Amino acid sequence: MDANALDLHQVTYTTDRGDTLFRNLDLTLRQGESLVIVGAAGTGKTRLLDILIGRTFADSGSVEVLGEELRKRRWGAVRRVRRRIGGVGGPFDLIPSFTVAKNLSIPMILAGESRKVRHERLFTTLADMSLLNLAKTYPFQLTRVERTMVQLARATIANQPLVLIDEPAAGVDPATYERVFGYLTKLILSGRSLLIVSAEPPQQDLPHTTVRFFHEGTLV
Amino acid sequence: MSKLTHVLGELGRNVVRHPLASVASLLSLALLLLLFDLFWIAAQTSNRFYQDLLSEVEMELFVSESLSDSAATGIQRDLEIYPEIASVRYLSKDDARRELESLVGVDLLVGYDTINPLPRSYLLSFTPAVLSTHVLDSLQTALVTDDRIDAVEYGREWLAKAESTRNLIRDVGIGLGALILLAALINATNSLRLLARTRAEGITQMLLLGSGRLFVAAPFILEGMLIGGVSAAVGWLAIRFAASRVDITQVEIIMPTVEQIVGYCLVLAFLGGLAGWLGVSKFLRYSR
Repeated sequence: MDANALDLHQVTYTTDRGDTLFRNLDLTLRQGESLVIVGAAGTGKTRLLDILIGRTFADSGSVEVLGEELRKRRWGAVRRVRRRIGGVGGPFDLIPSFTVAKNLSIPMILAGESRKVRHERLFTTLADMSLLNLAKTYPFQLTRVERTMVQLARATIANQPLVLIDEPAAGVDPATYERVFGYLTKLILSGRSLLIVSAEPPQQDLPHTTVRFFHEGTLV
Repeated sequence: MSKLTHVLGELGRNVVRHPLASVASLLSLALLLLLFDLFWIAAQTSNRFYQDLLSEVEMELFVSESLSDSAATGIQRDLEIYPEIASVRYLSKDDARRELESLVGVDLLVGYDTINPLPRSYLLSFTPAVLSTHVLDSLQTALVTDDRIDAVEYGREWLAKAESTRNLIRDVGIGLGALILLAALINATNSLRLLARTRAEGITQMLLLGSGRLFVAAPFILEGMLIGGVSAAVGWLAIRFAASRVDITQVEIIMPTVEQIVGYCLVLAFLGGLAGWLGVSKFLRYSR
């Protein structure tokens, strides 16, 4: 049986300034399920994503991502987890010196895909998301929405089973919101797990998705 | 293969996108290494000069007057067993008289044909490798205890001065060489750190995507190796070119062999790789 996408047990985290963000936080996300975590600014949404990609570590409790336990100095596990996670927003950004096509190729290169597979998948993904005309452009030439869409493409192009998304549609117009959430729906229906953190609850329903709220360092 | 292609592509991009920076770091490093190369040649040349001088050092053994001629010539066999001694030459009283005559240009012993006062002696020469006051003092102490020998002498004071001069040149050479190589390492590290700083955001993202540190650092390491190796080679090419244009007849200039130069370029390439790693390592924290 596949491991859960996420398994957090009794996680406590205090910032360097002494603010306790999480108190005995429990979170389980089964593969194929998705979760939206809603919380005000400063409640620790992005910090939670940092913990899930091994950028920082919990003070106590256990953090398991895609079956790998993330602990300090277990960089091999951190690397393996990062290769299987797609990320959008928050700590994730495009590589400024690479074109869109090269940005999308990196997860596939790291996954050891052949040149042929990379080219095929790159073409279908860009075509699927109507981004073909952006293949040779650099991130600084993209609009905010285009950047988000390219990040979404990168987060899924190597068949990553878990996608972490930070504020996917903050400040976008209704048409763009529709486009982004349409693609998220497609991802969920393809069997991926999504963890979305946002300051606002989603205005549109997502299939197989639960919405929870950060409240005093834990989830309700 | 695709990872290797990516690394080589990144290396090419680094060089092509910042050609002036690459050329500047290459030239500044080549100039520093040129200093090192010139000092290397100077050290080798002066070493050869001293070797030639030292090869003329001889030790003189004066045979006891009471010893018969046949017994005196018998000492030679005993001397030849010392491994430090390269050659042994016996000088009879007549030989000594002839030597003296050739030195002063006139036979000073006319009228002393039957009572030649000059001593019989042995002249010992040595292989350059053992020519040190330490070895010769030990030998002198051992030989002087022999009853058949009255005295043992060699130019100790001169040898000691030559020795200390050679040691001074060697110590200064090692110090300067280490200093120049350290400066080269720091110079290359700084250049590559500046390059890495311009790519810091990209490096962070590569690590967030699950890249290994070595994979991210590889283009910088390779660029360091390239700059180090090429700078070293450029320095030697410049020296070889200059040497082919200048004809020095006063002193024999001792150049390193091709094998030594190739080895040196490889060492510099390794140092360049180290500089690449040091330059980028600050940006390779998984927790950034």
